[in-house]
Amino acid sequence: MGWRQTVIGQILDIKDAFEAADGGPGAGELQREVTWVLDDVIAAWREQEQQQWQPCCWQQLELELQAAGRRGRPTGDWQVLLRAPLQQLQQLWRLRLQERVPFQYLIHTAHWRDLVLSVGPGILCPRPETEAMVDLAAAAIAANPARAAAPWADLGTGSGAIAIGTARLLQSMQQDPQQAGRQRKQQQQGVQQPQVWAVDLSPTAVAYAAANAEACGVQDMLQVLRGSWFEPLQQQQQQQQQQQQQRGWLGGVLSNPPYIPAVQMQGLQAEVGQHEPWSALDGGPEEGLDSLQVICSGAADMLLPGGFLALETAGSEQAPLVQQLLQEQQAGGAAAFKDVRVHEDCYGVPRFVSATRN
Amino acid sequence: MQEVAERKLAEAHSRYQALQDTIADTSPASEAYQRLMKESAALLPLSEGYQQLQRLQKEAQGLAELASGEGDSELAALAEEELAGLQQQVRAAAAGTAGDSELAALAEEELAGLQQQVAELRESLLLALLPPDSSEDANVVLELRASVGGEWVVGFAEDLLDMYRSFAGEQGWRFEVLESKSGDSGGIKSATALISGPGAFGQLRWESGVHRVTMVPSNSQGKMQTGTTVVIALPEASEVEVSIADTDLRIETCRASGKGGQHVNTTDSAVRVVHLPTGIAVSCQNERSQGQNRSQALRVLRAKLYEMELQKHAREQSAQRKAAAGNANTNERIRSYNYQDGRVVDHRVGLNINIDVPRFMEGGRLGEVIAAVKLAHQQQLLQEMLAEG
Repeated sequence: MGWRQTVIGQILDIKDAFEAADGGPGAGELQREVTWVLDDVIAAWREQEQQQWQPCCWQQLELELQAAGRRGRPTGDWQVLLRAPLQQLQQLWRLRLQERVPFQYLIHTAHWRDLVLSVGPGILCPRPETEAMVDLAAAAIAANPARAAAPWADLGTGSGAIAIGTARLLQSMQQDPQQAGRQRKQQQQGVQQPQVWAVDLSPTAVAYAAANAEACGVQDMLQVLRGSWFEPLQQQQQQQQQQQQQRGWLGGVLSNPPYIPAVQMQGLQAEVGQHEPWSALDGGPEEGLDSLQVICSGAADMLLPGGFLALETAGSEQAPLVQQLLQEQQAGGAAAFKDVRVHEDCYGVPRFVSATRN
Repeated sequence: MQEVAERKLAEAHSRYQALQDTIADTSPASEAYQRLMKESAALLPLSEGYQQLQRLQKEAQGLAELASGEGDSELAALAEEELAGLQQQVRAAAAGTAGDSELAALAEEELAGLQQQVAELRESLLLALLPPDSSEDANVVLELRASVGGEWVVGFAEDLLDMYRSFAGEQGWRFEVLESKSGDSGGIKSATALISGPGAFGQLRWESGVHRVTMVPSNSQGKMQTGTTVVIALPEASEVEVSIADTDLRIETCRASGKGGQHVNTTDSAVRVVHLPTGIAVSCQNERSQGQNRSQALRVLRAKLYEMELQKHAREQSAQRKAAAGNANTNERIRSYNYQDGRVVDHRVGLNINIDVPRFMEGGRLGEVIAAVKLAHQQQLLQEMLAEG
């Protein structure tokens, strides 16, 4: 196996320090990506042709290599067993460095919270900021456990990240006997429903979200619907309301809808602007609030009294606007929401807006 | 010295018995139950050892009496009974009594054997008397920092990290590098590793301190140079032992500028966690998601806070006990590695190994050095403990 290939790949990385031009990855970031690829791809090694393959991971092997180098031991004959053909690796790096294809697309994987999600072209790679959405949901349920007894919805689910994270949260709570009791009661009333509804307009997203749900073990609790925002849920709601005659039926609504103002779409980092789906990014003209607006307007009808709403926004400019939208939202002649708050993300940007249905 | 030791064993034994009574009265579902069971388990070997010691001593004493007895036929019969397993009869001692010299010699031999057993049992019980250190089995957060010396020390620091990686491999421990800063032309300036496996801290705690290196670096035109690398080994604390309130933390992430969120696709999720009350900061950058980097950083933070707790606790003990407790004085030069002369010296026990330094680091020898340091420390602790009575 061409061992040198990796060395060449690494040398190429270093020249990319100037990629910082459009806010893209720096050399350090790219080098780390190479390390991760090698972590994934190297299965075993041996010092000489005649020896047995020894299983290893790249981290250990790298240290061996360096140690050997320092002691002047020859490593030219060392061989590595790869899980994928070398050409594939080479192609992968060509795409990464020349075309700025997102790393996650090349390895078809995004690591997010404690999940490993499958992603590809047509799917927005879940962002580290968005990890906090599940924490917000957890806090909301802790504040009002009844919320966990009703279904939740993730609008614009994409890879399914938020929906799956929430489903796992609810799943872990099912260990709690109190919750299990409530659910048994619901089942007795003939209300058979998954705990989490994931909605997306794109058929690609629907496919990925369903596959990821299965891979993460929550397929029994999560159902993916194809459609625009609340529309596919309204059908479900009609079924529910016939039986329960309640105002609203969801315990929580979460969403990371496209929120980038249209004018900013052209100036995006290449990985984003040239490869990720614009339908998941473009928030429309002016402030980019188109999708957020739809969700804010429709949430009041969908949520049970006391239900929780959390939205991700573009940050400092948008969050206060969304906050205002929610505060002004009316239902039946009164304010639809209370306790409308802005939360900072892990980078200190005021990004999330949450509210409670009155 | 022996009396003090025996008294302590007796105390442990009676504490154990009292515990059994308390446990019998405690509900298994209560919190106290777990604690009591743990304490009981720790005392069990001492208690059993003590009882065995008593038995052996009695046997030995019995035999000794019989060996020096007056040849009373009644006693001889009793001796026969007692030594049934050994099938011996004991006769009167040297001064003018008739008897079977062969049997007497055999009895003497058995007596010597028993006394030997007693002595060995005593020794192991003494060691067991040392306060149990629950951190012996803890995982280790190992920090390495190239310290004094020129640019070249970073190579030595890297060698040391290598050495620990090999050692971990030998012991069957898991070795993960959480973070490392490279030197400009190779080597590492500093690194943090997480080493997981049974007994990890028990051994690696003895690596804390200053490691001194003497060598002729490749860029120094043949001049011999001296440098140091500081190693700190901390026990990893569980969430129960050190709980950190979310409000005590500030999570910092290095986002240069820009909007973040949907605007950015990055695989960089490096995290820096700052513990506000103490100001301790830990960063982690090598995991694949932000959540994972954060949990690793918290693991390291917990270990550091735990170490602070231990240090605080140690300060409250006697000065001597503190030194012996093995809480690392990181200014102490503990070991020298001389590449020129091919020698590794551990200064704490005066252990001098003539060996090619790279060979030492490759593996096989570190374990014996650590064992020597550990033994010396245990003996010192024992002496102090018994001196205090």
